[in-house]
Amino acid sequence: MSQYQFPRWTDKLRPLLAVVALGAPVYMTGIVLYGASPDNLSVGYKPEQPVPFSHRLHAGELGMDCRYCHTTVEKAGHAAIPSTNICMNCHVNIHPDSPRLEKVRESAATGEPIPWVRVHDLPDFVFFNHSAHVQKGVGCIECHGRIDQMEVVEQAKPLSMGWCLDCHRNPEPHLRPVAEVTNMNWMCEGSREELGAQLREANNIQPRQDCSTCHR
Amino acid sequence: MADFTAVKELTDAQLDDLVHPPQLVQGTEKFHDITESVCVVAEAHRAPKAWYVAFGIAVTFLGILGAMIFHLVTTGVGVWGNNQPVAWGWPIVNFVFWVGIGHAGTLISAVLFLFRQGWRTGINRFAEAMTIFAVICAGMFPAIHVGRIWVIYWVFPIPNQMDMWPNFRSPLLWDVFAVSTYFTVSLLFWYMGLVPDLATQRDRAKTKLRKMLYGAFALGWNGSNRQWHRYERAYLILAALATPLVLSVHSVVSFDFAISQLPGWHTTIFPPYFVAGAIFSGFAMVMTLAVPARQLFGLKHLITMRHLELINKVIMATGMLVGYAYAMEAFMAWYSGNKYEGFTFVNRAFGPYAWAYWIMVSCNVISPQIFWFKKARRSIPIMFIVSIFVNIGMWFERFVIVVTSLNRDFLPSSWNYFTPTIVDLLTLMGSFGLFFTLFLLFCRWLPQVAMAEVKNVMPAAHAHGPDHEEDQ
Amino acid sequence: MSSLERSESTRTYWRSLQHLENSPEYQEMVAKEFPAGPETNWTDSSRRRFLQIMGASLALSTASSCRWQKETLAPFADRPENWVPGKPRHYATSMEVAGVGQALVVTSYDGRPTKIEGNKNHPASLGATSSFAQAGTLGVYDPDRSRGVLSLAGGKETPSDWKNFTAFAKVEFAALKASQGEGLAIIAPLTSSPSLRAAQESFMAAFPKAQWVNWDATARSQELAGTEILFGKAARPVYDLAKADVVLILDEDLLGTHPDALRNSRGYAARRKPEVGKMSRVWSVESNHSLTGGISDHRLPLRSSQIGAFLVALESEMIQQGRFKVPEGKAIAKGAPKGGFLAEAKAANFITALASDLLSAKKNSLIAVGNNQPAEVIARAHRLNILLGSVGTTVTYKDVSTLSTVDINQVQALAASMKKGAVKTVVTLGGNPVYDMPGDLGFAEAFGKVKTRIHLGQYFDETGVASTWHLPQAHFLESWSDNLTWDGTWTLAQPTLNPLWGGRSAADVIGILLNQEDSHESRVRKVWAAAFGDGETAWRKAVQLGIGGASVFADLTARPKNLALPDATPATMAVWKAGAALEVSFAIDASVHDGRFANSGWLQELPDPMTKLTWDNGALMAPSTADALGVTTGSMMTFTVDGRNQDIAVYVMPGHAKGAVTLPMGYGRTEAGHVAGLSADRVTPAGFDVYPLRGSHALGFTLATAKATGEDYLLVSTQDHHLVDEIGMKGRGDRLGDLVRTGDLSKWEEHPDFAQHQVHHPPLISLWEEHKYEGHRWAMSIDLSTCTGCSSCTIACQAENNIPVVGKSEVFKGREMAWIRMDRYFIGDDPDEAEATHQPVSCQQCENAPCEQVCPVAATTHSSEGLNDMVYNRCIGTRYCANNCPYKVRRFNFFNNNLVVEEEGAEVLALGKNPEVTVRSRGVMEKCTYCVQRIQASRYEATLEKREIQDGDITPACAQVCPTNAIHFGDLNDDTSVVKADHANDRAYAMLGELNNKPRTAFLARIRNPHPSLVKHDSHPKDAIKHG
Repeated sequence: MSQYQFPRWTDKLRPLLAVVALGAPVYMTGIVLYGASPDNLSVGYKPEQPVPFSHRLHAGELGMDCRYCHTTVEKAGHAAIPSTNICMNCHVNIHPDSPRLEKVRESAATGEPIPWVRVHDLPDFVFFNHSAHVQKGVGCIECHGRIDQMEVVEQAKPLSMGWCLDCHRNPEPHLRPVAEVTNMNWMCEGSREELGAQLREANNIQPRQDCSTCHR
Repeated sequence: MADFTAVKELTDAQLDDLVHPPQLVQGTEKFHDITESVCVVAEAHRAPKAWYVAFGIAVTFLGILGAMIFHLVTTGVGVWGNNQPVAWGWPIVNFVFWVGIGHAGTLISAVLFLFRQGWRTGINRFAEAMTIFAVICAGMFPAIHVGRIWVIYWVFPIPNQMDMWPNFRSPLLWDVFAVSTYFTVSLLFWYMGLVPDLATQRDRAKTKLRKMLYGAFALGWNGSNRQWHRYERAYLILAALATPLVLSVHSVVSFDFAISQLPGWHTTIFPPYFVAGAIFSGFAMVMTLAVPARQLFGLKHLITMRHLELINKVIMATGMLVGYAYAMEAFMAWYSGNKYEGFTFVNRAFGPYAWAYWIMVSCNVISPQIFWFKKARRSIPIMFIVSIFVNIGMWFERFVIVVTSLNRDFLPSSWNYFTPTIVDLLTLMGSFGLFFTLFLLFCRWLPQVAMAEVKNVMPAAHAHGPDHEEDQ
Repeated sequence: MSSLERSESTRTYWRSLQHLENSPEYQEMVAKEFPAGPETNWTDSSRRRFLQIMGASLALSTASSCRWQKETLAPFADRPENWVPGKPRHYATSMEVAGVGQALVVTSYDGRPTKIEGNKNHPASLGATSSFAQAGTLGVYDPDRSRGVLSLAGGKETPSDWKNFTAFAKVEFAALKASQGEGLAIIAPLTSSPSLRAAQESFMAAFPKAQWVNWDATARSQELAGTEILFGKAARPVYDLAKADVVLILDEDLLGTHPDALRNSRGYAARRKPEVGKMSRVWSVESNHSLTGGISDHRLPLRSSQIGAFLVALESEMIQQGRFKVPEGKAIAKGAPKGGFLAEAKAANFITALASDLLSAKKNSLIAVGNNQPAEVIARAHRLNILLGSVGTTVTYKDVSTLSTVDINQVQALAASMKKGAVKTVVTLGGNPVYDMPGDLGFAEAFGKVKTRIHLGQYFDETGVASTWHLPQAHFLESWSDNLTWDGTWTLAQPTLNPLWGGRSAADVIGILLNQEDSHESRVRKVWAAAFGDGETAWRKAVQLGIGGASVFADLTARPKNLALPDATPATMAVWKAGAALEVSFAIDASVHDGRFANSGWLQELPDPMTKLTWDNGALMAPSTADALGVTTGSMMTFTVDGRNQDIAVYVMPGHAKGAVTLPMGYGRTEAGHVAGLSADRVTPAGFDVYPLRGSHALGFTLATAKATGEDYLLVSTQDHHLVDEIGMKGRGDRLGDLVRTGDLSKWEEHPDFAQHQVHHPPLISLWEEHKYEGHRWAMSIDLSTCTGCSSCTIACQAENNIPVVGKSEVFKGREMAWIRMDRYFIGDDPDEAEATHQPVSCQQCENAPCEQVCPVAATTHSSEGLNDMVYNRCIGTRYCANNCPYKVRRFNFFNNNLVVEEEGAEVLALGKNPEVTVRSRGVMEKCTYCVQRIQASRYEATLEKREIQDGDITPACAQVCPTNAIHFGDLNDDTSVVKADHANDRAYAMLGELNNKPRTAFLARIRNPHPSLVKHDSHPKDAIKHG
């Protein structure tokens, strides 16, 4: 009986086949890793807020200190979202009847909270403590970016575990004098590493890498 | 159109008389008859009724397996009988059981090949197939037994945003590598051996579809001397590669237990003991499959009584090795003077799980002893029953190791009895469904006997070398 | 738990919170410095934490943050001054059980009470609490609590509200006022609250003809009657075990279910450390094998009815040994009972030794007696205290004649007049009389005869169902009150959140009935002011401290004139023989008390300290008794008292008195809720109701007949799920001495470090390079000499670490989740004479941890301070670590045990979770962490205050709650730390240290102090006996 022959052109497919067989798994893994990584999943998240509050205006142009509104950031784990009455402290006099502040006035009147949309959202099994970082001279900017330039707040850093560890393993480049923590425009004269090393020495900073530091 | 009547039916006795060692095939057979009797199975329009019945049953259990796994993943590991302190129950028992079975294949193909054991040719093909399928079943269990199967990929060292690597000190991780390597190599080895036979089937194929499929997998084999030359070189290399794996895989599996410090697990004898047990169970399973297969597909003149007898000898030998291991384990427990170790073995033999222990001993150590008698070695029913016993016994060996050691360890306060659930049972049966579904498909569509290799060991071959023109 | 049919829908639930937030009282609370009810304050943290619990399963299963899940933050519209979101706040308060107050401190996150501790300022508590108090947080969030006023007129349930009820009450009680309260009856639970007492007085003034009856199934009326015989007025003994060299405890669980158990335990512990002063010797004579019996040096099992005879025999023996007189003179010696159990060598030797011990200790001896005993016996026992001169040293008698009491005659009279139909209106101010009244009163039927039946209760329970009006009662965390502790210290209870379901307190209801408007707080303050003088700052201080002033009870120091007593009632001397009638005695249950805590999953699953039973009670009897009756653990028996039958499952209790049966109360509830039993939803009751067998004339113990029904019942314990076979028993016996190291005082005096040489092993060499610990080195020590096995640590841990409840069937499978379990073993060759020993076991935080090495994904790793960190979110659930843990302390989530939180109506449970601890989902391993969240909290605090962590800054939940202070925690690298000293103690040993795990928890060997004349040659556990 006659031996069956594949047409000649199929020979060309063979190398291609090999490439696909070997390349596919690598490619799949790669694409998933890239797609699922917080760097691409989370960075740039910029939800619309119920009140068009501008950090650029308040923190930037008006140069208000972060701690004026986020009062508990130095003494507690949570940098509390300001309560309505903090807004009203000023806005009873400034733009007392601007339509953009309608929701704020309403909240102040009824006591109903303003439903802000969370931007920086860590997984629920991660326990981050603001005071511990702020007290040791880790600037707001390190995790939140140039808030003072954001019309609408967006997530600037991936806030992924690896990203946290980068700093916990090598904190020097991220340290600054405690006084400058909220200063968005602070510039380091000379080498940041050197200053960091000094600060680390001075403030006795030993970032822990034990699992229980963040996971309980 | 060929059918089974084409093959001349001979009784075992007749066939046997015709076989004179080292002749492994009936002397008067021509190469072509071999090809005929093997290929005819795949070419036949319909398989024997028995095949359909068997396949139906197998597929049903496969379905059950699917249902059980779905139930498991959606509900939680609690659907099994596992508890504290028996955190590993049936899933791990089944895993070790299947990995064990997955041993004979490579052993027969690789080791016996290196030792130039001609008689392997009759059985190596489906022994290898069996290996592949058994390892598939085995690999499934560790995967589904974890609590959160959706993150199981964390055991693979893939770079990730957490900057986390797996723990390379954990025997479980070694397992992942050992088993997957073993699977890959076995698969290659098996496929490699198939190539020439696939070519034969391609050439005999009638329909276009078959021509294309067999053709694609035959990788353009044409049986030229050059190809044969390289083929045999490559086969030898693969065999050399595969051989150490036979020892490594089950040694690593045994580390899962030996590395821990649980009384009854923490013993140095485990690696050799596990390997011996694996070969033991592997050969038993080969027997369990070979007996009906040769009957069903009329391959008695290829898988001859001599093959079976040799297998029986191996079973008896490894059976006694295993028996030695049991004895030595118990002896060391006593000799060490460690009260926890000692208690574990007394508890195994006479505690709540004594029944399991004695099933194990009688099946694995006692039943093979019957093969001292030539009559028994050559009796189809006896060897079949014994092989079934050994399969059961080996499953219980793993049960005894896992469950009886765990259910009473150091602190009496946490002692507890383990009771399997119906889900445990159905999952085990389901895994057999998976195994047999694959195996039956293989029997139906692929050459169960390595034709090319068998021809090698035929007297004719030795008269004037292998002649491949004969086929066309 | 099945779905909650009675609950409102989730949405309405949240809306109700919105309303609450703006309610005036909320604003008022916030304005004051002790805010109540803001579990509604939607700070970012509480909102986030709430989601954390709700979405725990999702959250845990995703490696990265859930970006697709949009979260909103709802800050205060007006956050009060120095209110820091996510920071815990602590409020002093108190709870009352059976008319005795306990001083507490409540930890509250963003207005949600999540944890309860003892009040350090209170002498009885010193920071410790009972298991009942620990379970308080679960109680307040119990989804089964009644959620609104119900009108049941005409037998059908119609939702109503307080307005309707007030309107109804106006009319109803106006009429009653006219008749001066003729035909009106009030059934009130026993209380010590002065403000409630005041309310009661004003009520009785308005309705002089009304019957006010106090009822509590566990009231200590016998004790009052007994002391009255001696002192002429009801007295309450306050014991000081710390001063006692010799303690004799008669049929009383002094360290277990006694109302003042905390103080007693503390005192006991003070004298049980051999290196600290002279060890006390504890003798107990009891029917049940109680926790107290378990820790005694000598124990004589006797039927309750024989205690009286025992006492007389003891007195006469003391007279014979001389230097001791009783008013009756030598006569008593002649008339002293003989034969029977006294003929047995054990009893005889016991009495001889005890007598000499008491005589040598004189005023440093202490005799305590149980409330189950007849008044005469109690009187005789306390007289012994007086005769030995120990009054004022080891025991003080407080004049409690002013306290409300339970008068059983009143109760009987009320039941009778109800039956006659003489009562038109009955108000039950809390409590559950329809369930827990003695069976012979036929109370349920009598109750039904009353026309108007008003019930105030936290649950729509047995009594609620049988009423015409049901009113939701406020939980103690939701209301103001004032209670007196056992020693008479005044404690204040303040609400830590607004009533979740609009509940009101008993005093509020009395206010409504009297048509008065003033809030309960103002009542409490009024009464307080009357006692201590008013003044804003003083009041604030009182609220802050939670306790006020010295004891309000006067000490009875004067020696009574006439101490002669009538001869004790002739006791049944005979040793029990098969066929004779059984003696059943009723005991307070360690988990559910008298049934009031029955619907708490935590308490139901908390193993009984002695039986280790969960989710059930049983008829406890001695092994020999069980054999004689041909029954064993799990066999059902029909018990009959005066023709009243009840089927109960047998539990064989080693060391129990022969021929006696102990029946723990509080089970078999039919209308408790989805935990303990609810007929409406066909939730079968947990355990067996023993009240039908109880007689109002014999509340303590009585005779009964029992017959095996032939059926079996599944009793589930956390130990020995299955009876242990011979080999198991032997294996256990061989190793027990090495696990729980025990020795007599004499042995310790010879070789103080005997415990360290118990096990001989080859030199220990590590496979890996060992860890270095530069910084802290956390460690724990547990003193088995002072541990009583009360199991409070188990439940404190459950509350602190969000440990789920798994249910009876799962416990049976061996899947309980407790992070610290109380191992209990019985020692001794004769099951009837078994001694108990306890050992709390949690993660030992090994330095060479077997678990860490085998995890394939590094989900459990070693911290730089030596903790075995367990990372739930990394765990894939291979369970290899659990296999390799020699202590078997790792717990696996076989299912999602928190699913109940997602059930409609049960969301409220989420509010009780500790926000500092991740809620685990299915498929992950968990275990004790040494309360790492508390370690972190202290670390942050130290950072902010720019200082190092001091010894004592960190206290794990188990150590904090321990009444005997047996658990210490600290830093081994701190040479001044307590734990360092403990680890250096001669008695310190590492359990299974021969495995070279290097456990960080050290056990201190248990030292017993037997009487020289009774000392056994080898106090080592030879052989543990069945049911271990």
